[in-house]
Amino acid sequence: MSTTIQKLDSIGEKITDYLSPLTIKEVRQSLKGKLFLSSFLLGIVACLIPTIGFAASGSSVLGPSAFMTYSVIMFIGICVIFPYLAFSSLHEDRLNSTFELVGITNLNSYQLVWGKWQSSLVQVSLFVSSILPFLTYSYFLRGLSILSILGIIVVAFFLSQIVNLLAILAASLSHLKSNRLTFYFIFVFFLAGGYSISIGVHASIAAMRGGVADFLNNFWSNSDRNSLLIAVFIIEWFLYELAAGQLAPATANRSSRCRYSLFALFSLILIWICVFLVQSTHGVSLYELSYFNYVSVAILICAVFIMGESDELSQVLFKKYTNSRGASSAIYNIFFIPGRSSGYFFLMGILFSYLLVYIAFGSNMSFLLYFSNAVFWLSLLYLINILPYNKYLTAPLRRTATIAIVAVLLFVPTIIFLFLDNQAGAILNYFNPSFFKSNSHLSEQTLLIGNAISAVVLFLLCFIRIRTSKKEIQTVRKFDAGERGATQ
Amino acid sequence: MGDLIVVDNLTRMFGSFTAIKDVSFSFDSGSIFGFIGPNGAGKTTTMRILSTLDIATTGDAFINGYSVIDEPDKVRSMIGFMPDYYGAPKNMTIKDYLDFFARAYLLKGEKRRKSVEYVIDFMDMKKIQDKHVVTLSKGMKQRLCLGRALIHDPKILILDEPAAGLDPRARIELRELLKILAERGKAILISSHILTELSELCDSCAIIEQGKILSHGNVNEIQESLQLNNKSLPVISLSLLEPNEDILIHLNEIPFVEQVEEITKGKKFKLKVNGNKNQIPQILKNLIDSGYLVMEFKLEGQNLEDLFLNITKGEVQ
Ligand SMILES: Nc1ncnc2c1ncn2[C@@H]1O[C@H](COP(=O)(O)OP(=O)(O)OP(=O)(O)O)[C@@H](O)[C@H]1O
Ligand SMILES: [Mg+2]
Repeated sequence: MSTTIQKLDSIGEKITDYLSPLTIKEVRQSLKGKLFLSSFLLGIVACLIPTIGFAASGSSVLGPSAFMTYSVIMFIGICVIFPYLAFSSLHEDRLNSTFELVGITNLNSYQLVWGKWQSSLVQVSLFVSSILPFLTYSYFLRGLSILSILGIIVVAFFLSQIVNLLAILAASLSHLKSNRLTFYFIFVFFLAGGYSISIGVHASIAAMRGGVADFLNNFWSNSDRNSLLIAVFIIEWFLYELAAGQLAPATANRSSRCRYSLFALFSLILIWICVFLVQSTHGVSLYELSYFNYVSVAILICAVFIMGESDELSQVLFKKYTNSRGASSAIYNIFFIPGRSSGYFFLMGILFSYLLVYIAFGSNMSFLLYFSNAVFWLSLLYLINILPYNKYLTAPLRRTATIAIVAVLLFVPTIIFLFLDNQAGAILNYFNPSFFKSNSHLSEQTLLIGNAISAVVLFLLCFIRIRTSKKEIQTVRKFDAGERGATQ
Repeated sequence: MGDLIVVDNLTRMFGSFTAIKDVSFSFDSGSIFGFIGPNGAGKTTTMRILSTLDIATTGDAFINGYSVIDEPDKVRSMIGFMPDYYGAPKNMTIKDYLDFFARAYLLKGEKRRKSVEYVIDFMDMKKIQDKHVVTLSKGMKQRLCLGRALIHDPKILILDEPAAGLDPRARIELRELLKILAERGKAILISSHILTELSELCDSCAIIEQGKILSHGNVNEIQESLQLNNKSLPVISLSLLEPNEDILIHLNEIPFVEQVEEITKGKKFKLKVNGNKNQIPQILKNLIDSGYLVMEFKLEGQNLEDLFLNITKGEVQ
């Protein structure tokens, strides 16, 4: 008997050899921790109490309401509490410098992020399996198909993985002295909010055309949406690289892979614009226009990073490439060589492509409408950029006043519009937070003026960014010169 | 140079502040190299560069021929680094902690189990192996940290102030452990403020202040070079088995003795000697020939502590 157990034990040991060391550590740690256990038990208790109520009441079809209760508990658990636990443990590990020591083992930082993510998957699975009996119970209370139950679980699971990844990113970016909880919620709120807004815009447009069902049915078949998915994937890739870069020691190349992802994104954008220009001869649909939201998001992510990347991010590369400043290597420099000075060229590139699109569609009002969303995205990214937590995107304007202004610009009009308008367009209004949108009571002229203002704000923000980084660029140049002088 | 560790003109700047400037030294396997300097001298900065945690602004260091800047991956598996801080992860036992790092160094299966056991044995942590890391005392944490640095059996150990905060017994134990490790062929770089300790332990050392190496080489060589520069007269401390009233007069009659200071009446003295080193044994011979029962006869100002105070100016950066 004992030999079988020993055999099983050694097989178990062998299996763990193939798992990420970090996953094993995290799972061990969390299973021993009070936080995991208490949230686990709390989830079960929270499910048990209403269950007693359902059992006591005599009515016949309770399925949907029971299911609602349980799934809310599940969502809170796996999309809010567990991601926070992941965030908290990574923050903790960085704080007690375990990660610094792990950084000089044979594990690289990509494996760290990956292992962390896997471990959150394990924890979420455990939690879901503890809720599963209740969900099954709600099936027996009738009124639900097994498919819809499974569907919700799958969606919740998928969503929780995204939130977990965001939490890991947040933890790798957070300033160690900052208040953990505040930072976490700001970061995840903005990024998760961003995702849901972008999906919401699409859903609402689809709702205007043929209903949400139509939107969902066509989601996987439409080639445009495939490229949208690719874009989202690339952005996630970029964020993943950023997290890994942040966790890697100074001797690692922390920049190139971030920039590869940006290059991929930029190429995708170019293809997009070209396709769009070709298609536009046959008339442009509202759908296609809305993609410019994503184009602007993507470009802005590139811009903020490329212009804002600190030299600290990759001193290794910086040491190697300080001499390559020729005109022929300009394009290469933009994407692959760290250092803010290359951002100028990048910015010019963006301005040029915007100009191109304006020339092509300047007369199309609805296009401009969607284009104005860029201001929202820019503000969002800018906000993230100027938050004092960020180590690698330099923080030139940290004054709380700026944050407050941006917040007011973003949310107050949104909230006003939400209460003003209760019709079908309300959702669209909500998801398009700029002042100027296609409300029936706004004339096209107002829209035009609004967009003009949006554009001015956009360029103004870029301008401020350049101004504030000018000084840093000078120090970079000085460093450059010193470097070369010393090595020659 | 064929040395295992060669540090070649390392300079590290933080903005415009130069933390270390043109630091160079080298040492080979089986030896213990002491890195001595006051607070803020740049010891930790140098060690972090050597352990590939930080990057030098200029200069390079080579570990077994591999550059810490160009080939950090190759360097990492050869070094064990013990930092001067001891963060402890929550909810982890000593065994789990070591097991995790063994996995992180890609040790698998039986090999991993053995190396964890070996470290626990070597560091004498068998009894407390299931204790949680956060609950350990400072000395225990340090011990664990050294154990962690040993887990992948590195050729080189970089220890940043490993003796700080240890009680005398633990210090002696640490010293013994390090000697054993050096005998097994490991190259050990150790930094400390506790200089008397290093003078016994180290084969060679470097003294660093304000980011610059002031003196570097064999401990004895450093001592000698210092004595050459030392303008003040050598001082000898002398003590007798039994108090003797007459010796004071006798001492004053010895030709090279410039000045005698009586510390305990008739028993303990400090002699200032005027002349070169060869004359010092003459004094001892003289005393013994005259029938004095000499218990101690020692040249002062020769341990590292005194050297250190002599060399460094005590300017904190
Ligand atoms: N990340 C950093 N940014 C700016 N300055 C730094 C940084 N790390 C170290 N320094 C500076 O470099 C100098 C050398 O620091 P270092 O930690 O190497 O000293 P040390 O010899 O280890 O001192 P101690 O004995 O106190 O540990 C100090 O003046 C310190 O302020
Ligand atoms: Mg130090």
